[in-house]
Amino acid sequence: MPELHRVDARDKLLGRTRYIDDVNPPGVLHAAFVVSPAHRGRIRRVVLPPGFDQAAFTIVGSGDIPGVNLVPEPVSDEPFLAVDEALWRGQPILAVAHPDRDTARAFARAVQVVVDEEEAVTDPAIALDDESRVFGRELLIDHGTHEPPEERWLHLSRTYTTPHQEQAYLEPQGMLAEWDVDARHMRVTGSMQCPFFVKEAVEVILGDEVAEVSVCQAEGVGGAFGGKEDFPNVMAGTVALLAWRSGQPVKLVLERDDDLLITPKRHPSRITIESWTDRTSGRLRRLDIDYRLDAGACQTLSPVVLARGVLHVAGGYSCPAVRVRGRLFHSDTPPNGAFRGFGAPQGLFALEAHIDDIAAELSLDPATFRQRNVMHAADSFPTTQPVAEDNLADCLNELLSQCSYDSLRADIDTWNMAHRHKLGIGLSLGFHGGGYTGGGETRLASRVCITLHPDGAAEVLAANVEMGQGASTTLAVCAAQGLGLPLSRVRTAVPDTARVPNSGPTVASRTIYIVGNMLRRLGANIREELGDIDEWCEKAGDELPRTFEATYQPDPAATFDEDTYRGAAYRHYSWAACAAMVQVDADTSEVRIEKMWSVVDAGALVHPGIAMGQVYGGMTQACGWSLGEWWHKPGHGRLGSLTDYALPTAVDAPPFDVRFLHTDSDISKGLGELPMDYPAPAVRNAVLHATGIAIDDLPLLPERLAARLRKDNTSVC
Amino acid sequence: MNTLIPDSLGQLLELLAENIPGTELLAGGTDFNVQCRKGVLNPNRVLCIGHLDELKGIRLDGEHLRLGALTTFAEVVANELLQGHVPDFCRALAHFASPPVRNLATLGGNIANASPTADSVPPLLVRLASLELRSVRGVRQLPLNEFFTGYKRTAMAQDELITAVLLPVNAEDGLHSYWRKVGTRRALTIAKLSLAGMGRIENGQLSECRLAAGALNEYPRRLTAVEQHALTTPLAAITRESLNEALRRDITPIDDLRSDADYRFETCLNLLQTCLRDWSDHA
Repeated sequence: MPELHRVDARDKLLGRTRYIDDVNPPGVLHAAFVVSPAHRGRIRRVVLPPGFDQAAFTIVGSGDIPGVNLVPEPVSDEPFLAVDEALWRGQPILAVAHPDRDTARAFARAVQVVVDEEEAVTDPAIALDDESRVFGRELLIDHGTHEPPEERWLHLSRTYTTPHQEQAYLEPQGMLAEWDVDARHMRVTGSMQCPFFVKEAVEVILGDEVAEVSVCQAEGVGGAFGGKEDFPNVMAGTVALLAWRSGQPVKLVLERDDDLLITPKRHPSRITIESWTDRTSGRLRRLDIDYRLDAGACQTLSPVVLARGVLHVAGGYSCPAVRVRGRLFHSDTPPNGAFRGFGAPQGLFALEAHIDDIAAELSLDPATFRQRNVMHAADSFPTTQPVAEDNLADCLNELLSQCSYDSLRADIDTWNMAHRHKLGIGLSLGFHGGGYTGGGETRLASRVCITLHPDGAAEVLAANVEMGQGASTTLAVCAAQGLGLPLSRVRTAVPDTARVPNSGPTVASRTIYIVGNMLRRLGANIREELGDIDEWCEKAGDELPRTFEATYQPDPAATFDEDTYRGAAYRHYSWAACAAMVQVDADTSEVRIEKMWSVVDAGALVHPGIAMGQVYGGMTQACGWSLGEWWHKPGHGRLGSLTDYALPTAVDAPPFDVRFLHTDSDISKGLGELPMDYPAPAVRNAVLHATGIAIDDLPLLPERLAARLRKDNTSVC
Repeated sequence: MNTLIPDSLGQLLELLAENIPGTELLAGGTDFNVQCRKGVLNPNRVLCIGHLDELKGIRLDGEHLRLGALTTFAEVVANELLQGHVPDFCRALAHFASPPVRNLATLGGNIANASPTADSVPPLLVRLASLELRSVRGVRQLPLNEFFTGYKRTAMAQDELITAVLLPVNAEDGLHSYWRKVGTRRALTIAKLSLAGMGRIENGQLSECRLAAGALNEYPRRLTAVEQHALTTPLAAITRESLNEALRRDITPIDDLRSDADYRFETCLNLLQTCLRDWSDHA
């Protein structure tokens, strides 16, 4: 297939694409949040500032909500607007709107919120160490652990932690609501991943006041990475409330620092792994894993993150006995939410670091240890689900030859004997289950449509948004492949709940894997039904436009028991192996990633260029998470802006050498999240190789490494 | 906020002479605009100076290279005159911020802002740069070493502005140089610490040694105790312990969100050792 352009690229490069900040209907009011200044406490009073014409503002609080003041989430425990208690610093308490944006923001900032402050826990390390803070359902996977471990096995127990990570989408959160009072119709447009989630949120907050809600993705959505899965519900609910109250269009676009303060991040984790390994065979015999996530002040969607976390934390290894206990911990911080990887990166960091720690104890090369233990067909996951293929082992073997692992490692060891700045190479494996966990896809029952138009064009109707990841191109490619039409004849509609069927949210690496494969099959079915589509269209006349619909068909053989956590948690898995080469500076302890290699199996690639972009982007995000990104520093609080938040720049990203395996598969698997899942431990393991220092806490800050070098009295000089 | 755009340097000096409190100068704006947007700076009156030709240009002026205060970092990096005379200075500034910021940010602004982390200042200090300050009262030259008086404080009077940076034309002749900035990433980063040095080795001993550090005191400044120790001790007799002892008298690193005092101190010590070893290896 020739390299295809992205259908959205030209308009974005030329600055023609309109993001929600560019959309200002006549009479629009600009909104701003009044947020809690305190981490926790009873809200005593709210004092509106003098010096403003208060009549010119629309002001709403929790008491003005005609519907239900709970954001719809898997656990709906987060209020849209705080009631009596402030639950975290940055929690929205009021929302205000005014014709002038700067005036609205200045007014909101000047509102005085008096809170009886109570003791709060904002340090993830403290929250995750306190079992009295557990909330929500505890998850348990227990498989084959009835026999006690044998005395002669190597027993290792270590704890690994990971920090918050900010999605740092290029475009901050933004949402517009327009109220048609006669039709009692609320129209919402904005930056989001899940139009039908947003629709439900608006219906919930407005209750019987609204007859119809329709939600449309803004023409441009400037990145999301999971950060626009849950919080747009709060944004939309708030602007809809203001629009209903004022009768005017209301738009809320967060300033960057407010976005950082208020919105969900990746969950910090604390994961303890106890392992038993047969010293003779070098085979893993048992894993006992305590998987903890800091959920923040409310559960919201954290139980789903926890589920994916416990299902990935045992890694891609064959182990006959696995016990995983997963728990959420409460802290007085913003509810953590969705971020590319969704619980998997935390687990794979801990597990893949632990794999190197076991190998070191056994004096085995980490590659050899991985080859002895990697999953093969006929092995099973801890859920008892059989592993269907050898593809992870294929990825590992291909990776080792791709980076000439054996000779490179030997060359590095020789080089290090003669140089102050030390090189190291580290490995990691990863996998990601495509689509919703367990029976989620069955419950979603996604629907997609393809409409054939009189002009000969086919239009894809689906709810999955273009947020920069290329969905408007890849979904069209899938439909074109099925229909047997050139891509130029297929276009993807901008998702609008008034026009498109509910094909589910744009999350969980499901856009191509679930929706794309559905479109490909639907296209093929249309072609089968109509014969030559061009000929049929010519004859069809009044039958056009004609819309064809398909509904997701679950695999009856793939079932998952959500009580026992047994069965097929996911129908298909994507696999990957990674190597990272680093240099550790002898003077500064800075870690520089010199190169990264990765071999990925995501099945058939819909668009090789976009697939490669996903891998580069995910790996870059993982580099940032491994080396420099954090939000809370004990004793110093949180970062208030991106100034010191060390997102990697183009010069921080190493050269990537990425290869795809098994692209001749008949299915396209999930790819969006996978490349964020596994590279970080490869970097940690490379630092271990370079320095002999095992850092078990991300990020690998030079301050941390320097302190360990001092303590261990080893010198890289 | 009152924003004025003077026609000429003369008119600007007249406006400055009004001594209106809360007056700020706006050149490249790469820091100023951010501070204003965040509400950290709330100027009464802003005088735009970015268009004034009298403050631009790089030329040889007797014994000095004269860099107009509005010289951008990108201009320093690309300037042939500077590349000919002070190539290491050009290289040091090549890693400042990012290309868009280097195209806007000015040398005068970076200095006048008086940040402890100003990236241009340590390399200028070790090259014995001085500043040309001008007001309606006249013009004076002040060694850069004497310009900073405290955290974000300078010896500049309210009616003065920096009109040029003066670098000795022979600032790098026959000298070893050193520059290292340590940030949170490789570009677009605020320094956790930085170290600049210029030195000459004769007969196993430093005959000239100038060292300056950024982000380790309330303003960037010379490491005078270390310099004194290095100038009075044969290189072979300088030890990590002796450098450590001298450095303790020169810097006061802090714990903050960006880094830790221990890390800053030890890394600075490591860099000093590397600097002296590099010079010694190439002597």
